[in-house]
Amino acid sequence: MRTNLQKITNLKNLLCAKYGSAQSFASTCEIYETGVNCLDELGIKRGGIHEFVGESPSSGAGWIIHQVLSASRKHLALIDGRGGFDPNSIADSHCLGNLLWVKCRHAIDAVKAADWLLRDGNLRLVLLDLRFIPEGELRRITTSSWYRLRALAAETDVTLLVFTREKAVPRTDTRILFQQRFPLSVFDQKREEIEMTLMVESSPVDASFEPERRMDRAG
Amino acid sequence: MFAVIYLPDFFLQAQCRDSYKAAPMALVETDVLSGEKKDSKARIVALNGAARESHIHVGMTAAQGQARYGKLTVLTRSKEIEQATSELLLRLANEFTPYFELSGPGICTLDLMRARCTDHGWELGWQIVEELAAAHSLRAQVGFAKTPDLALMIAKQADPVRSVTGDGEDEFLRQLPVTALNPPVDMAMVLNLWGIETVGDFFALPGGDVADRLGAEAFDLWERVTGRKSRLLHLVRSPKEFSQMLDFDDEIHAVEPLLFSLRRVLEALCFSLREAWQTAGEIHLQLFFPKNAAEYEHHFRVPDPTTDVELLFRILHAHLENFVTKAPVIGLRLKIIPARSTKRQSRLFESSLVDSNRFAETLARLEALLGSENVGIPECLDSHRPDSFRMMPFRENNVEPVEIKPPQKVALGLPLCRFRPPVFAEVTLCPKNQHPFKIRSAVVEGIIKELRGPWSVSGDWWRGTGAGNHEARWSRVEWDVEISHPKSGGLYRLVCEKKSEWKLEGVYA
Repeated sequence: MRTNLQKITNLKNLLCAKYGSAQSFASTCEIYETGVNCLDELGIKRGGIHEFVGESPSSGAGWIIHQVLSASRKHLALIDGRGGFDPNSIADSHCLGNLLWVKCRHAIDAVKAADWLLRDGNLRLVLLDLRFIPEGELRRITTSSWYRLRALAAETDVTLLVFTREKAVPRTDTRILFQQRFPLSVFDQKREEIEMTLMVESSPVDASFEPERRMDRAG
Repeated sequence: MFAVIYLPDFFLQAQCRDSYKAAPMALVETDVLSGEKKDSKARIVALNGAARESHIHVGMTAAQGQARYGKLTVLTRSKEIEQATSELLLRLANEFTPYFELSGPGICTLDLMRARCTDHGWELGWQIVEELAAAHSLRAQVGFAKTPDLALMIAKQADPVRSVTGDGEDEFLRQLPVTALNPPVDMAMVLNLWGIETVGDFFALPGGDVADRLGAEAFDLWERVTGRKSRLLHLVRSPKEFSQMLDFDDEIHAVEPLLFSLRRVLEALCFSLREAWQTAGEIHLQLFFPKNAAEYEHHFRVPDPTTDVELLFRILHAHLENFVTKAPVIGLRLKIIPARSTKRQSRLFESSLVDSNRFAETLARLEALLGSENVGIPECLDSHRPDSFRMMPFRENNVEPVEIKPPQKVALGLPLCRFRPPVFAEVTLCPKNQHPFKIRSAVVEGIIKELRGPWSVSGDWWRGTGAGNHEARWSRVEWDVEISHPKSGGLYRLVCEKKSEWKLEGVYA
């Protein structure tokens, strides 16, 4: 069995070396394709940590989580900081089969769960939802914890999307800001047709942000 | 193809290994009742070639043997040593195939149909002979043929390895004396009278006539010699479960010594599993406490069956890391239920889970931290009751990703993010139309800018009003509201289940 796996690995390497197009399938591809247009156009770096900040409760961060889940053809994990995910809200309940839902009550548990799942490396995408964690508790997550998560993501090539109400991750590959507050008339639209306005910080290295680049994307 | 490992003069070889040929030797049965090791009346049960040349026969007493040859070495038979040698032979056979039989004392038949065997088994044969000679000082002969009986005959003639296939079979049988078939005495006499001296002569007889004149037993022998009939092997089977129990001399109060002992047991069991060509599918752990305390039991499923000690130990370790007990541990029992190793088509460029066992270990840690009810795959229930779902464990059966199909229903607007439990709210109603007008809660506070509703929903009313059904019935009025507040304003779901008892069920995010 081990010999067969070795042979397949060798074959993969051979094909990747000979045919450039095979590279797009190989793990060396740098962009993680979520299947959600507005995210894929931004280019979510594989093996990175990306923060989505929506100050308003109805900013559309939940919409991103649902769209990523609906479009995912692979297993992914949702670490739910306050256990608020509603499985019945999802249009296609089949895609729940791809979801590992980790319900937490405290931020510290959520970070611990993220650490383990990143270290594990089996699931290529991990969503960490900290939107409804109280501000004080969120602030108690140490900077070193975020650095550790970032290092783990890079090491195991797992993409981590963090959802917060305020900027909490000290160093991210991308920080995306939701600046919309949806009105009640959003319920007149089909979910996949909602237009999402995302603002991307070009170099979210530290707390001092550079001028923001505005990008409007249709979902 | 079948292979037979044959240890000539097995009883003597088992006793004195490769020195059995050196001088005339005889083996006598121990007289257990008399308690004397070398009873002068004890009968000879086995001889080596040198002893036979000295006209000593099986059945003679040791004294008669020594009368024929004064320097005859008489050894006492030890069934324990013979048993150990047989086990050694089986263990060696097990290294090459899981399908083998102990055909007799010092005879082991291997079914190589499903094993890779090139060059008609020569390399394999020499490997067996050399290993037995080097490691155990045993002289073996190995024969290869298409049937077990033929392989045995070839092994007895081998020097020390012989493989007979195709046309070589006829040639080999033609020269082989008919006595090599060990025919019954009466049949041997008839064959002798007919002038049948070799197996080839016997083989040349018409099968129907052999059956008519010598009976069914002779016909059976004829068919086996000609290869028309092959007997089934009585395979040596591995046990169905592998378990080991450990009683501690001293009570164990900490997890480290417990893990140390568990690892030791696990290593032994994995060794046995590997020998039996099996992998661990499930692990059952039992911990025993002093008299008053009930034993602790836990079953672990191994998603990708394996015999990797490190991996299996990590599964146990992850579970016992947070294990707390009121009483010290006085013993343990570890049982492994074997399973066939998973055969999975390796995908060329992607796979669902790279390492199922590692993932199971991570899941176990998450479950230990958060509780098994908080980790898994959500499954919506066939009900309109709000928030009705159940958590299914993420197991090996569902590691393959689910294929995305067109949505079953059209979803509108933003998805709901629930408050679990719902948040109580004080709601001021508009005097005109009795619609919610203002809200005050721990989550949000403000004027309701816009709303949609009310939607009256109910269910399980058909269950009646009997005891126990009262809680099953549900009825509520729902509103979707847009609350204006600079920071926490947004779209919320407001619910009224009982009169004037309002709750915020979640936020549309």
